[in-house]
Parts: sequence; structure tokens; C-alpha cells
Amino acid sequence: MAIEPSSSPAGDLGGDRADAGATDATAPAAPLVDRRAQRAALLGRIGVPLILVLMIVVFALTAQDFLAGSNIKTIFTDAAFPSMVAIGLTVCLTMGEFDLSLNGVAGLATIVVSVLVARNHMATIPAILITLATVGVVVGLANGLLVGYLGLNALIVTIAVNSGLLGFEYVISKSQQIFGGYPRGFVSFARGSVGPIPNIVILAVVLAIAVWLMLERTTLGRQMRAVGGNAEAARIAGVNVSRTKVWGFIICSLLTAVAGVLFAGKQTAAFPLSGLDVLLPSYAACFIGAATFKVGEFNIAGTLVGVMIATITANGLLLIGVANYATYLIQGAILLVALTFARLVARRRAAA
Amino acid sequence: MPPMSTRAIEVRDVSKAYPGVRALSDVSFAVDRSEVVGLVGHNGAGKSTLTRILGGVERPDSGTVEVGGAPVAFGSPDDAITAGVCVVPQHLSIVPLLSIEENIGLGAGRRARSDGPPLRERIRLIAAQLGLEGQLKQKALWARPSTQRLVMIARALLREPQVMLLDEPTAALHPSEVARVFEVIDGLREDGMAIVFISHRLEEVLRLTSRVTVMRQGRVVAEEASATLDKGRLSELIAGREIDVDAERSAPSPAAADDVLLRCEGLVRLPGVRGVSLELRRGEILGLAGLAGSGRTQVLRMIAGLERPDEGELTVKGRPIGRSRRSALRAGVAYLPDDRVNNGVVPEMTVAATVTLSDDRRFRVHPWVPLLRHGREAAMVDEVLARLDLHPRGAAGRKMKHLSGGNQQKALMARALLAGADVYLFDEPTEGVDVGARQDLHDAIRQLAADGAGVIVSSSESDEIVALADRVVVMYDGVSARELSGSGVTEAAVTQACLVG
Repeated sequence: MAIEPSSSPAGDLGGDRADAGATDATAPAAPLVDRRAQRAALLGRIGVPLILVLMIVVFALTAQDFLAGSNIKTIFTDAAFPSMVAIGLTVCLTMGEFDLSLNGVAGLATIVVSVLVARNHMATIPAILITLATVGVVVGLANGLLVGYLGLNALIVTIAVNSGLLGFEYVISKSQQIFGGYPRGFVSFARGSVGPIPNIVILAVVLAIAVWLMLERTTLGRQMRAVGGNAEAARIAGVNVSRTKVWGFIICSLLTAVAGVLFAGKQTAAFPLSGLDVLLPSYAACFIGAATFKVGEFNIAGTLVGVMIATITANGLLLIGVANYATYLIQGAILLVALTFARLVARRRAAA
Repeated sequence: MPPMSTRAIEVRDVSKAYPGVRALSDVSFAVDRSEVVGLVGHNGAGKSTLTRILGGVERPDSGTVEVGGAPVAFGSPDDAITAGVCVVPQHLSIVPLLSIEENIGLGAGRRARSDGPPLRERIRLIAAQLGLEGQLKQKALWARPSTQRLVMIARALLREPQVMLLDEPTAALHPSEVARVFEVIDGLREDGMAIVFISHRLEEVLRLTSRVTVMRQGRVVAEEASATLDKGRLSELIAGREIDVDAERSAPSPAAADDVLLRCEGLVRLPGVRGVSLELRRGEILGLAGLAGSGRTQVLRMIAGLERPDEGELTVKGRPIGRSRRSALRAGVAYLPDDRVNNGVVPEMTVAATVTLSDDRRFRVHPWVPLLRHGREAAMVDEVLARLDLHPRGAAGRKMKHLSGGNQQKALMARALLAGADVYLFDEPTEGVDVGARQDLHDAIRQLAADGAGVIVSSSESDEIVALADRVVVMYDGVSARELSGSGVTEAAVTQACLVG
């Protein structure tokens, strides 16, 4: 076959032919190509969950106690914090933007709520609300305004903001560790469970459902997907692109701050630069998620599968007795493998 | 050295068909050394296809091409370059942050010859030939438009061609910049180059060339010496006089004369739009004609609220439209953009979401609760799409990327229809869609006007303008140059006005 020109100006004959190719699969050559495409699509949708199942089987066979009730509870508890952050990040990525201030937001939220309740003895609920409003909403708003309205590059903006937030951790904690003195209600919520299910897991699930609803069923979620898919088309359709971006950054920061607050309750201690390290795990989860279910799109269900893969790897390796530092290596490797896998599936679909 | 024939390139009986379209029929065409030949014709006349064949991008179905007397068959652009044929495309491919020198040398690395002078030296020689020697170290970013065009020509010269095809080399240039490009072309001709000058600017064609080849509907319809032509005669040849009658032409709608919906007065947005005034009345379809680059798209973008005029007045029903697309939408302006791939389609989104992206309030559980009822939305969207005769039925839940071009365009049209606006703007509404979809889209546009809205259709195809419009405003070089109405709206008249202004 002759090599087609890679780009033919729309509206000329080349465009017509491309259109003809995209119409319903009634062309004579369809069946074979179709089956290959279908297989690639199926592999794309369930490939990653399959890996997850495989991992569970392998660890169940090799690691003692992997399937013990207490370990399963540990896995879910460990997954809860990165889940909340990754759900927020999924919103940001859906809009085609990045947020690298996640660690700063989570860490500062931990510090702020700790200072308020443990040092200043503020009542728990107002303290949490103040933390979420200042760290979550204000930082998200700042990121959103800088990126959405000023048009600055999200990568560099959020790196800069992150640095600022780390500084604030020292300022607000006065560079001193906060240890103990947390109200009992706060701690028992963060550590407690309903029956066998930890509270933070329930909260993570509730947040996942809420954000899923937001993305799939609301005007805002749709506008976010339109902005991520083709910002110019969204603008022409009448979507306020800048405002949509602001909302997305706020949601991302807010969910990250929620994770940071709960982390304080669980640890009952806080110190600058020792908050949640969620940056890589949440990006890994989102990008693994984008290779799952709806291939090529960030989606909440996929993100949760991604979080589970990362968490189960860490947990299983720990049980087998692999050294702690290896977790970093392996998390990095998992992200690369997932990205490669998604890319290969996409390429096969394109070729079919 | 063997004597070279004066004929640099000869095309004989070349035909090319695409599914459903005969793009070229028995086209013959020749250029001698030291000659500049003009190649003119309407959009879709076959110039681009011929250029692509000579550039090695496409292969002809039949016919022969000879370069310097030897038959050639190009399998790729590289083959064409090796044979000495170089196409300088209309669109600049300049890397702004590289220097002029680096831009000229772009892509030449692999072709560097071991025997000749080093690449640097050759670039310097060519730059001297084109008067660019003083600017070689300058970043392309700061170069004038004519300089950027010359860089493209220089890049082609580095391939040492015998034949050059210049596709609209002056399209984006200010008149004062054109002279510089012309000097270069003249110089190349004197050095023995065979040059094909493809342009819509007839004055320039007549000034620069010794002969003009006119194409229409895939055929060469005239070949004449430039000295015997004038602008009027040439535009007649391009338009063709036999196609004046158009069966599709609709009866003029009964426009209420006083009910002006949209008024533009002296709109300016430099550099593209330099003075546009028009009025749109209720129940009327106004055609906006003009060549590509005449400023049509920008005028519509201003009315749609996407760009703001530097000067001039723009009102819908007596009120200004506001500062954003959103406010213009609220003021009652619906808009179907040109270039649906970049401006319209979000590939991963469903058809239903695409249609209701501008306004989904009516599908909410409650006006204040932005939770959407998908079922109701899908039903409504499918109903509108059925009115546009979109097949297969029930497409609301499918992703846009799985639709054909015509169906994508129908989905975007459905969005405009649901806006319930007073003013509808359609930019190239049937660009790249099949004949059936084109008819459905035209029907929908007529229905809007019949229902009392005001419609502007901007199109580069004069037959589309003639088929739809009650009145035509012709844009030329950023200015609303002419107005045609009543029996004056014919394909030949529209085409001629586009070319001559």
C-alpha cells in the first residue's frame, strides 16, 4: 500500500477518505481486522486487573499470612491514603493538567491540623474545617488561578507551590515535632473501623464514588473531560476553561488535604517533611489506571486498581522479606511497565 | 556536458481518482527551464492533487511524468527530490527558536554529500543568492514573514532542484513584502530554474508568469500566455461560465427588511481583518464568501465572542455580545466552527455530551443540581440527530472518535441547533463531508432561516454559497469588498468577486 501523507489538510480529498475509513465497519476487509482490534481492546480493558489477580495469586502462594484477615485489613488501610490523593489527581489529569504539590499539601495539612488540635487545643471539627479550607481550598485556588487564568505551566507552578508549602511546614510547626496531645475522638476516627472495615477505607470509597459521580454525571465533570480532550473545542462550545481548571485544582488539593488530616490522626505525631509521601504512588496509580477499563483515559475505577497494585506490591514484598528500599525501585518499575503496556495496547489498536 | 532539452518537466495525461471523486482527468502540463508558469484554479480544481503527485506524495493512476526528458515514477517525496523536483508548501514549517541558518539546513543532514562543499558553505551561498546572508545567525522567531518564506525557498534550493513548485508563496504576505519574494523568483528563473507558481492572487500570477494553466474540476481547461490575459478574463476562466445555473438554489426567503439581528460596523482585527461591515436580518441566510485567508473565519470568531475586535461595533439585537464565547452564547449567537478536528471534536467524549456541552441545564435533575439525567439527554439528542438524518440511529452514547466526519459534523450542528439562538454562524459547514451529509446539513440550515433565525454561512466553495445564500458578502484581503444579492448571486459572480475583490 502506498504510504499516506501523514497529515492531509482537512476538507480536501484526503479528508474525505479518512472519513470513509471511519464509517461503520461494513467494508469487506473488516472481519479479520475487527477481531484483532477487539482482542487488543479487551486486553487493554482487563489486562491490568489480570495482572492484579496474578500478583495476588503469586503472593498468596509465596508469602505466609498474605491472605490472613489482619493483612488484608492492613493492605486496605495502607491503600486508603494514596487512594484519596490519587482520586483527586485523577480529576487534575482528566483536565490535562498536572499537580506536583501533592506532598506539600498533604504534609502541610498534617502539620496544620496537628498544631491546631494538639498544640492549641482547638475542637476537632473546626480544626479540620480550617485545615481543609486553608491548605486544601486555598492552595488549589492558587494553583488553579496561576495555571487557568495566567496560563502558567502547571508543572513548574505546582513544583514552586510545593516548595513554598514545605517551607510553611517549618514555619507553622516552629520546626518542632508535635507528638501526642491529639483529641481522642479525632484519633479514634482515624484509627477506628466499622465492623472489620477501617473508617478511612469507608471514607476513601465514599470519596471515590462522589468524584466518580462528579466526573461522569455532572456538568462540571463533563466540562473537565472536554477541557482535557480538546481545550479549544471546549472553549468554542462555551465552556469557561479557566474556571473549570480552578475547580479541578481545588478538588485535587482538597482530597489531598483530607488524606493529610487523617494521617495526622492515625500517626498522632507530625514533623516537617515527614508527612505522607504520595506523589509517586498516586501518579503511578493514575497512569496504571489510564491503562485499565477505559484505555487511554484517566478513570476512577482504574485509578483504584492502580492504587491496589502499588499497595499490594509493597505489602507482598515486605512479607516475603525484601528490603524496604526495594519498594522505591519496584514502584518506579511498575509505573514504567504499566505505561509501556498501555502504549503497546494503544499502538496495536491503532494498527488493527 | 550533454545538451539539456529546454523542457524541465512534462506531465502527460495524468489521471488520479479517489473513492467517489475523480481528482485529475488526463492532465497535461509542462514547464521549460527559465520559465515561470502559473497554476490557477478553484479549491478542489485539482491543483493540490497535481502538486502532491509531482512532489512524490501520491502516485498517479495513469499518465507519465518526465523530468529533464527522462521518465520518472516517484514512490516517495525523496524520489522527487532526487529527480530534482521540489515543492515549497504553502504552510511554513519554521522552527522559531532555531536560527535562519539552522532552519535552512533543517533535514539536510542525511542528504549531505561527501564530494561537494560542506553544508555550511552551501547554505551561505544560497543565502547570498536570496539576500539572506546578513540574517543567518538571527532566530527565525524574529524574522519578517517574507524572510520566513525565503527560508522555505532556501531550504528547497539546498536540494538543488531543477523544478520548483511554489504553493501560495505570497498568501500570508503583506503586499509590501511580496516584492522581495518576487525578486527572488525572478532571479531563480534567470538562473535556469523552472518554476510553477500556484496562487489565488491573479494580479501576481499575471505579473510574474509567462504562461498560465487554468484547472477546473480536475482538468486543464485553458493554457494561455499571460500577456494576453487580464484579471477579469482569468477569473472567468477559473469560474467557468457554463455552471451559472444551479438547481439547488433556494428561493429567497422573505426577509423582513427592518428586523436587523446582527450589525457589524467597521470591524478591525489586525492583521487579518481590516474593515468589515455587514448586517444580518431575521429569516435570512447571508453567505460569506472569500478565498482562504481573506478573513472570513476571524469575522465569525469575533461575532461568536472568541476574539475581540480592535476597532468597530458589533451588536446582536442592538446589544454588544460581551467578552467571551459564553456571553455571546447568552446573547443568542450559535456557532459551528471550521476545522472540526481541532475546534469541534473532543474524541473521547460521547455524542450526547458533545451535543449538550454548551448548555445542559434542561437535562439536570433540578436546575440548581448539576447532576445529569443521561437517559433523558440521550433521548433528546437522538431526536435532534434523527432530524439531521444521522445514521445509524441511537448514536448518542457512542464516542465521537468512532463517528465518520459527516456524522461528527452533524453532532456539532445538533449542538448549534439546540442553542435556540437568533443568530447562527456556520464556518465551512460541509468541509470534508460526503454528499448525503452535505444535503442534510444544508436542509437544516435552510430550516433555521425558515423558522425566523438569521444565518451566516461562510464557505470557500462558491456553489455552496450560491445554493444557500439569499445575499452574499464577499471578503477580500480582510475587507468586506462586495455585496451580491438577488439574481446577482451566481457561482461565476461569487468566484470572480472572491478573486478580484
